[in-house]
Amino acid sequence: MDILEVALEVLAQLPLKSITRFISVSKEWKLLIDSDFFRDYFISLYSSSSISWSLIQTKPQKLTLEIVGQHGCKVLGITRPPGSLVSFFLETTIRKLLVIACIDGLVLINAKASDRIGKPMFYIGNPLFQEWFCIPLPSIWLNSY
Amino acid sequence: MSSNMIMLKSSDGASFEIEEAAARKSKIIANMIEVECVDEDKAIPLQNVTGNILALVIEYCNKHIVDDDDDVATEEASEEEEEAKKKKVDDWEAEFMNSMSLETMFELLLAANYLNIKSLIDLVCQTIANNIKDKTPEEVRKIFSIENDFTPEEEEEIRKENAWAFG
Repeated sequence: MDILEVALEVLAQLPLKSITRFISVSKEWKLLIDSDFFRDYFISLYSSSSISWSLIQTKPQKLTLEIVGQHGCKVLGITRPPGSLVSFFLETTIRKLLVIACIDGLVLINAKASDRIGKPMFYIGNPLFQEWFCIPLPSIWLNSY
Repeated sequence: MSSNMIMLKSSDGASFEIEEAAARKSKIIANMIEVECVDEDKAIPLQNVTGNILALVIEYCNKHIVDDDDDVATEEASEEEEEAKKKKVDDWEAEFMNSMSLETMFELLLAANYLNIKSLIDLVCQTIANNIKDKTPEEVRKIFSIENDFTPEEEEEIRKENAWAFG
């Protein structure tokens, strides 16, 4: 067991936040953490756990996110208790909400504004870290409104 | 349950007597016993393990062999009893690891790996992980004796890309 094997075993036990921070320890650690091997190993340790979330529209302009799954929360370094609710606001009130895609922890949401033209809005974000970005519409779309 | 005793000898020449059942926690010793490599009058030399570390390994094995016996005796234990027993083991393990320095943990990890005791490897790794999870990359370098081979610019770049993890 060399020092890198020790690092592998220890790193795989850490929450994602710590693992990400330790990318900057050394080039060797960065290579290890970025590798498919580490990713597969990490996932294999937690294959039995899962984390789920749901998006609820509670008010015309407010979306609420519910995160469930205690073990998942611990792995991800999230300290909030399971079942907690977090909310975020869109730039305008909406009348329709659709989750279009979800891959590798990122979620793409399509919302339709409740104004007369019903301008579409796209948000991409990570429900766990509660960061959402509004994607600007391509000019060809804007022209048609 | 056989109560055969076997002798283990550390790299610095200390001898330890241990129940065969406890020694079997080590896959490598279990294999030696299977192929009858173990002479009852002779100690098994463990060249990679010092006496103070071997004493810890034996303490761990002895504790866990008792637990395995309990399992057999109370096969139909209720869920609550199982929980209570698991908690007792967890508490013992926490206490066992709590008194150890990080340096000792690393030595114990290498010994557990050499002797192939999977559950002890997992326990030590988990404890080291708990110890370092809130530390800075700089502190982790010190603990693992790693030299920072990033340029300040490269390090800054990584910090920027992963700012959420440094908060």
